[in-house]
Amino acid sequence: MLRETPFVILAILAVVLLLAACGGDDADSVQGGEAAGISVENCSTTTGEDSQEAFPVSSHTYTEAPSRAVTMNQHTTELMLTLGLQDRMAGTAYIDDFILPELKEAYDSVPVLADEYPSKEVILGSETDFIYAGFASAFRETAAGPQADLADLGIPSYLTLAICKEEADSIQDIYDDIANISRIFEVTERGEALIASMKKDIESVTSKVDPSGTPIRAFLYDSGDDAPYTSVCCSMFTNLIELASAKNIFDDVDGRWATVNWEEVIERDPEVIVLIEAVWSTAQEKMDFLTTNEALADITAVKEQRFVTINFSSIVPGIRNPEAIRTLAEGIYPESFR
Amino acid sequence: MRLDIQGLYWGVDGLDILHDIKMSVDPGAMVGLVGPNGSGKSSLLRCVYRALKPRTGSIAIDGDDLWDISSKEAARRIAVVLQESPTEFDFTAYEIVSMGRNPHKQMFDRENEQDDVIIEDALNQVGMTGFADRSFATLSGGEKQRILIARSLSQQASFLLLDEPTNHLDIRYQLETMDLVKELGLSTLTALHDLNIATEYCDKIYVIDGGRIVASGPPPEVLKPPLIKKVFGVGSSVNVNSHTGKPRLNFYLDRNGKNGL
Amino acid sequence: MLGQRSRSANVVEGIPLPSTGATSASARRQADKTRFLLIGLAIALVVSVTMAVTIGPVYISPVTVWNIVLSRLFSVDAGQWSQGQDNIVWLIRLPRVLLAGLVGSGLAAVGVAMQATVRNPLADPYILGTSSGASVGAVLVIVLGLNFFDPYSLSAMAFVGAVGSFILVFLLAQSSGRISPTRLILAGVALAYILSAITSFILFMGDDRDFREVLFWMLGTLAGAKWEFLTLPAIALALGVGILLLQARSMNALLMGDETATALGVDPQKFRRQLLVLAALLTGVMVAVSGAIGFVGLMMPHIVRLVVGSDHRRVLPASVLLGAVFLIWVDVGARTVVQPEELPVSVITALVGAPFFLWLLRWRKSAFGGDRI
Repeated sequence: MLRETPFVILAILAVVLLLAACGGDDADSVQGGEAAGISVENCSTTTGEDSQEAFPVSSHTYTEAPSRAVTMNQHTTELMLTLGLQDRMAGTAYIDDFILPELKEAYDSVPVLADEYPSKEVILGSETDFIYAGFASAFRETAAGPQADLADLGIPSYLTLAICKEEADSIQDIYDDIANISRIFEVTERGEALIASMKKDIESVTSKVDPSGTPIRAFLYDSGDDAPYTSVCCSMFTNLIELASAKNIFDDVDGRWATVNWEEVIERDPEVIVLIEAVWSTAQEKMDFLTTNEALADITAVKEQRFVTINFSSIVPGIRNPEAIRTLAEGIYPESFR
Repeated sequence: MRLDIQGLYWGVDGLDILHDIKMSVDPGAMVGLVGPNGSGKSSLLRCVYRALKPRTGSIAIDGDDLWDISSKEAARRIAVVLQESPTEFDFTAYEIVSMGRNPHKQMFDRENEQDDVIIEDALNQVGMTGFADRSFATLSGGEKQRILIARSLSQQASFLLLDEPTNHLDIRYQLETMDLVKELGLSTLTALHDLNIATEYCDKIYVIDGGRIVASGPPPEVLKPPLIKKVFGVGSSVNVNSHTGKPRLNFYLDRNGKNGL
Repeated sequence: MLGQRSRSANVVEGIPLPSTGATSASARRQADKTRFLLIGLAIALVVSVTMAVTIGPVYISPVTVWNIVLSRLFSVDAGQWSQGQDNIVWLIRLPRVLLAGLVGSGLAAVGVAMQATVRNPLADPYILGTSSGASVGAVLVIVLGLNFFDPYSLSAMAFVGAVGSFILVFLLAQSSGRISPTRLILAGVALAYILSAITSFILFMGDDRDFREVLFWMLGTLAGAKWEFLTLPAIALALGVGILLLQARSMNALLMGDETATALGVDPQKFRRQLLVLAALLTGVMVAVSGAIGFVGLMMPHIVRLVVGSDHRRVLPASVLLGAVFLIWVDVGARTVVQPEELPVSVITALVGAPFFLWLLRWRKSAFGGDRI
């Protein structure tokens, strides 16, 4: 038996414990509340997981506008770029499909940190002072890490308001996000202009469709053969389709997304099927599946071949939503737009 | 070191398997335990090395009740040679023998010079010096047996227990093993299958059948044809092994139910 | 016939016999060889820690890295670097490397203990269903949002799940108060299936996005390493390994078989119970901080045995050190292979582990029942 062994091991452990003791307490916390500044209410996740429940709300005071923001997810990136904030950005991450052509140049001027979520180290390596995320998953340990930890390092973070709440998503959430972001970055006029133009776009669509009469039944088909994955009551899609004067046939199911079954789809008989165009499932694949499946042949939408294709990124809460409403309305009521 | 067993009963699920066992081993004596399969030989041995606890009765080693002393103390007094072997794990012969030192070591004790000497000495006694670094799994049956005996020696026990030590060995190694054990001169209790080996080497034997001791005494007096017929169900005759001078038994199947002589 | 040729009696009386010295020499050679190996491993560990801290998706020069560490340790000002770099080295890389060392050691130690307990070199820390139990805990937090112990919910529930499943296996494997290795393995396998089914069910009921996070957790990650997460594993490791080292001889005896162990003064039932409790607690702690990292507990003892044999007095310290070094480098891989993203740790350990076993099967013919050549 080797005499030294236990002592070596214990020595190593002693070193580790010592480091643990002294390593713990030298993080700079975010100073909040005392200095004058812009106070913004937002929420924070504790688990880094999207949840059906509301996240705790808190407010943070920004004493000065961030200059090295990092945006995670496509809709937040596009929102910031639309507000012309690319020179205040230090990085972007996790695009769903493509950046709007009009924003491409601005987008290219900001470093892309990763195709999906970058690791904590990479985020810190960008020397960021503000993180704007579109989904709670951006704050997983394997991504940016918990918001509380980031706050300890002096990095405030902002999560899309639609995620924060338990209640259904709606366009108002986007307006509120724009208002908050534009206040934080001190570009409030741009924010107001953007909100106004979005409202105008939506108005120009809703004015053309007639809300009276029974709304058209619509079904959103994201993916899945054996069982379809769809949007339900409280997702942004349901709000958008209502603005387009139609109705999501699954708006009685709790949550934002759910896996349903084909029997229910057949029974609820949608008159139009909205096909998501996404990297993980193209609209064509879904259309082929629907039209070649005899069990589904009697669904009104399939019989009449009433399909509307829409990009996934358009129905995520963000600045593309007015355009999404237009696409949906034009697809469902083509006569109204000739 | 003497062993005395009195009034021992042991069983499972309320059913007794060993009944009223009375046995003793005198210091330095070699005692054999014979009987057909299922007679309780192994169970009895297991009671002696504390793998089984008797329902009632006493086992005394040098006057001390076996269950009054700690298991380590028991292991310091009684060493067992079993047929178990570590199948998937390979130890060297030295390591196997050094396990015999376990009962003598407290938790914080290290190996020391004295242990080395004891282990070396044990290997010498069984004639396996030079095999220390050999992997145990690569040894022949007889060599393995000798290493296990060496382990018992390094235990420095004065009582040796063997469970059918010659079962799986070639005839030469059977005899060599028994010679070695005999030469060691420790108080020994060994279960045996082969009645001739029992006769050749044991000072005294006990015959067990159906969980009871049915006979005991020096082998030539005990192993007589009527008893053998009753316990083992075969006819037998006795003559003399011209080489050793000891009695030797010859067996045959008695189909007519008559006693042969 | 009554010859008293007990030479061992002489030794007991303290008169050392003149031995040929051959055996003691070989024992000393073996001890030297092992000492050499352990020192080598310890050095490798120190070197690994030092180097691993300098590696990551963000380039920071090694000199800067060490300056940062020194300045944080001894509060000296050693140069210029950004706050981001400082945070990366001190708050991300160093705790992570140290945690990798701790978890690697812990899993290796448990692997050794489990292999002794069930007398089977194919055992690993999770055969008692501990990883399946921990997964149930994890999905309860991730999918169903049972955040009672915020902000440590995930770790706490994983620990509860791991230890809970051990208790169940322990109870299932009993048969008139005794536990045999076979029953233990069977109970563990059965329970693992049941718990996996529960995990899958809960997972399926949840949101699709949860899959990825649960998968990441189940495949293990050290990305959540923080200084305050080091204390508990360090203490658990010190106690666990310390206790196992003290029981090394008894573990050797246990490997010989229950009967032999009894004959050598070890109570196999009681000892097995103690080993199981130790293994469950230590595994629970490790799984709580890093998810279920596979292969380490299985492979390290094997590799070590190839070099030093099966004596636990050598296998334990060597496995512990090797486990630490191994996981530190695996974690470097997890940080850098798909940079700037993270890879789960078990993906790498499996990629290393599978070929290892194929090699074992093919080239070590004498192992596991092949020809003894």
